[in-house]
Amino acid sequence: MPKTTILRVRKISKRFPGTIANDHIDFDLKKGEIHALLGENGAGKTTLMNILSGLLKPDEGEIIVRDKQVFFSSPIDAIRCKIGMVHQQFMLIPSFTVIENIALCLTSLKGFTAPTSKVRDMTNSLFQKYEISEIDPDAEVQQLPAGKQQLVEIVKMLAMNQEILIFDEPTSVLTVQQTGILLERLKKMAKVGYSIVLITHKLGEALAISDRITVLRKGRVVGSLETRNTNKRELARMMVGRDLLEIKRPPADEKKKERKVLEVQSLRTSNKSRGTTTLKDISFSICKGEILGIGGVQGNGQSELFEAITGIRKVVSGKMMIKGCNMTNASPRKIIDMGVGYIPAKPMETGIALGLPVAMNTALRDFSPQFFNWGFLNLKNIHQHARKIIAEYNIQTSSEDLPVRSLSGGNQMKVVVAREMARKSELLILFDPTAGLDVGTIEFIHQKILEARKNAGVLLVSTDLDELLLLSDRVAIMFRGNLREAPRGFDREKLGLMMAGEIECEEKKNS
Amino acid sequence: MRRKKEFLIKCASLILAILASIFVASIFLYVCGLNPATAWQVIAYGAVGSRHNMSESMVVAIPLMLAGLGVGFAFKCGVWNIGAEGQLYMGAVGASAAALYLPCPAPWHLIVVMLAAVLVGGGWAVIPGMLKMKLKVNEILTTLMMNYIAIWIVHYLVYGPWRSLKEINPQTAFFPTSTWLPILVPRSRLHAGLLIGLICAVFMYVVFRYTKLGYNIKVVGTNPKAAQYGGISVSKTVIVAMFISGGLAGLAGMGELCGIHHYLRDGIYRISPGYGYISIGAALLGGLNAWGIVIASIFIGCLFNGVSYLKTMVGSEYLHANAPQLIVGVLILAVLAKGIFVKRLMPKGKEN
Amino acid sequence: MELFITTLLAMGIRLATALILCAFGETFSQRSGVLSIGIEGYMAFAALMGFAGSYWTGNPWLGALLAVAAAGAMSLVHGYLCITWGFSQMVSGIGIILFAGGLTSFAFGKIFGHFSTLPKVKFFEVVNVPMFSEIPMIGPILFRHALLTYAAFLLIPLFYFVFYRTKFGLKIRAVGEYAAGSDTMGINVHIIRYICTLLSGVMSGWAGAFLSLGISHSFQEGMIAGRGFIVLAAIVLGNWNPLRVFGACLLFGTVDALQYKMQILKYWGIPYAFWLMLPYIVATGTLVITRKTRQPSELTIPYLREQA
Repeated sequence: MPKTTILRVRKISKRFPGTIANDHIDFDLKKGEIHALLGENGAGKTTLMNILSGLLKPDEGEIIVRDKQVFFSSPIDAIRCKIGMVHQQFMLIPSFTVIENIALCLTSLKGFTAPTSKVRDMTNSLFQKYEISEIDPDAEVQQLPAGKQQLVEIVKMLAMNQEILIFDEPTSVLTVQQTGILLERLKKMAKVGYSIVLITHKLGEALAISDRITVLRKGRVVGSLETRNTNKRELARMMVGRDLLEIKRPPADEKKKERKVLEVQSLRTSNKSRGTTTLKDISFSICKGEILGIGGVQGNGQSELFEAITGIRKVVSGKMMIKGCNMTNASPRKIIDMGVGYIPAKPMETGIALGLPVAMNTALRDFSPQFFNWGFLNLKNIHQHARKIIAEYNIQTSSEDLPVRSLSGGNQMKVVVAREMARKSELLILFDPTAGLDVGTIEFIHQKILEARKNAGVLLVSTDLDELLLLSDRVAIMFRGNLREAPRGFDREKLGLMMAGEIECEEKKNS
Repeated sequence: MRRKKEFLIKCASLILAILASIFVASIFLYVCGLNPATAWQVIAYGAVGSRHNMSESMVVAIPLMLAGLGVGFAFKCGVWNIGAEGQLYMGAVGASAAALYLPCPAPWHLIVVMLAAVLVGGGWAVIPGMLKMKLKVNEILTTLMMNYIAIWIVHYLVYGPWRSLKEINPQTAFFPTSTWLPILVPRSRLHAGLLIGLICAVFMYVVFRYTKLGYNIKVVGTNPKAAQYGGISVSKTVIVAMFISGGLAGLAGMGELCGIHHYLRDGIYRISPGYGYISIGAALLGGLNAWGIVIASIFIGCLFNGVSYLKTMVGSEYLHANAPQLIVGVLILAVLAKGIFVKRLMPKGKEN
Repeated sequence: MELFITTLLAMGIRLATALILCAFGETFSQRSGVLSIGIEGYMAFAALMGFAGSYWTGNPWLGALLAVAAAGAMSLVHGYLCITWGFSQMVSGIGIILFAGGLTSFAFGKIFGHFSTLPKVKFFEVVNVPMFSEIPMIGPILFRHALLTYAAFLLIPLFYFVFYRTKFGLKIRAVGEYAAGSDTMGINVHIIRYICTLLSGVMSGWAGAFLSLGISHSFQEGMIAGRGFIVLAAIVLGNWNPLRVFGACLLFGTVDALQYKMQILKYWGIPYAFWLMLPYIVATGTLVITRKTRQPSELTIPYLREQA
């Protein structure tokens, strides 16, 4: 039976100052199908979906739902058209319980007062209907792990009777196994009549469950195909406009492995602060010339570990040695002086000062006399250094005096990466360095990381398993504050099981 | 090219904002039964029309400048120091103590008095700074509360232990002439506090452009987390910034005492008709940079004096005592309005 | 001694009334994410308008309505700048305090400047609750107040109910914790914040009117004396929870009353000035001692949608 078109979008355009996010996009969704929207970071997928969910207004174009043209001036209009969206970053109120969140959604539709038994009954019946058993309706959302929060988001949409469901990069926070479960669920929902849009940059997923795939590149639709008619290579080429670079990691230089640049023994943090994971007995070491990749689902202690190593978080017990010196609980300044470079998670939030000029940002974290002499800034040197970095890393900006805020996201990230890599540190610590970047920049950064490996030990914390596998010499997984190194030869499947806590590895004692 | 355009737009917005506030102020003048056009002429004359008026306008500008520079330091560091008024008062206390109880030979006495003002004013500001850093107490509330405490401390001292029994009004003894700031323009009240203010402006400019401290303050003010990762000690930077902030406000207090009154007093004749609060306006209007603040304080000083002059000319049945404050308040809101103009007119765009 | 405590507590409740009224509105505002440090200014102008209104109409309630309208109007300006335009709530608040202060002086001079002594106006009369006000000790403390005081007390359970048991309260809390999330759930963030900001202005209006018409029965420049800031401290102390904020206001009101009484009695030779400092010292002290307060996550952060 041919499927009817339930949603169509015609010539949608959206411009932001300096860029065109969506350029005359045509897109349609049939009832009961899973339609993947594929594109690299920055291609315009999320913008398009934000328009569909009512958060943004298009500059041009039409939205037609169930054969009627509609205009969305705010999310509630989209909700009324039965369009629901699960965003990449969950839109649940963290300090509310599951029931309160669902009640909140319902308040915009019907005359509910605050969480009543009605909402509770509805929630419970929905849980039953969709075979969701593990969630306590009275739990606070922020206490739930990502996978469960996502389930709450789905239940939320069902409670509001949404029929068109949009998922924005839903697997980015899930383990391999959870991803499989989610994709199965989506298939089931499509069979029952829900129409699903899956936004992703992962080719594998798109190919696995979708009926059709539309590829976006730089705001334009490159093509729309039946999934069964295409393959990975073709899609990749459509996404990026060229063949992807094959980055090969050269084998680690065994000779250099004598020198340990970072050694961590039995590190433990306190569990006083709310909402953070305590580190329990973390031990590992990194030698010069190798890359240790630390993976795991977001929220299992990676941030806390990163903060502990960089001196921002205090450890309660254990030892940390950098280049042989005891740096446990040293201030960030001392650690920097030891020659440690780091690129924090969400660099836009913690790595640069948005209001300050690029040149000032390139001098951040550098206390060397070439920039700072007896308390005075050496402006000439700072500017020279900034110009050098801008050229070398191809950062798009007309001048180093412009505030960093005026750079695009990818270029802001480049400033941070460039700054750290240019310092030729002996220990380089990176946290999700390529999150949210376009393919070209990602390839560039990967190359730079491999270059840096020649003269330094690299600690790469990443939630992207593919990136870890590509770059790391050794892989360790964090789960609930514990760190376990994976034996050589562990593949994606097995690593995924470790991330879900289902394989306990022997703790490898590093000599 | 683009930077020039941005600068021009900021200036244009500022002018638009000032015009808007003049318009609103004119409405008030009209309500008072005055003809706005003539009123403004009188105000202008009162501000800069004669040598005497000009010097009086500068006299008002001096404490605004000093305290405003201090506020600028704090705000740039991301700390909302609303305590300039209290720090000014405490600076005055320090200055009085040094003037009355630490006698020294001539040039040194003044220096000691200045030091005392900076130390006490700065210390008064460091307290909320430390409370914020160590105990995460909101600095807006603490600085505000401490304003009131400071005012009552002065009251206590002037009516109590420091009260001079020779005078009828509640005040301390007269300060020895070794503490008097020299008058810059003969037969006027314009004192060397102006020079101190300008020197402090240069100080602020140099700090923020050329020193690590200024750099640290800017980073902490824009993004404390980045500062932390960057190895900058947020605590130390905030406390130093607060000390400077309070110290400058303290100098403002000292300036009023040693330049104009030469004794500490209270009651109806308070040393500050809200200079601390108005200096916040000067700091904001001046865009938190040294020269902007200097210009803004002079501007507000002129406005203030001009309106006072208007008041004496027309009599208080038309214009009540605190009209100058009202005008300044309008000006502050104009600062915000300026922001709206800037947003509207600014060339948008990110470098791609 | 008994008399001292009785009058102290009664006065404390009277003074706390203004704080409670103002805190009621401002807590709503802050829970939705908008900080109005301008409440000091709203109250100042409202106190004057209330007094003037009562003078013109001969009815304190009409005077209060005028005060409420004035304060409400000012709060809408703050709301417009901060909610629709996303400006710094701090800067706007400071601007409003300066402006309102100047405006109050100006209007006072314009309206009453030519009086050598202020006229007597109709004020909020004390209404004794029949029977209850006769109970020894408790009676005078709790049951001999102006109507507004009783209203303020009754507001507390109402406040609690609205906040935690109605969908409006749910929406407010959601907007204050996660504005973007609330937006995607179909809640109009701006409208909720406007309502709460206006509420803050309106209640500050009642508080200001009560200060001039209910407590001092007169008007004086600077009579607010930082009470707006004390309300802010009370809200922090109360951890943005209606019941605790109420308790904090009672505490501060009592300290305020203590300060008045001690001034007059000159106990133990402690100078007058120290008693005047007391409320501020206590406010600061309590802020220092209280840990573990958590402000609404979106407090002072504007929400503007075109951010992609």
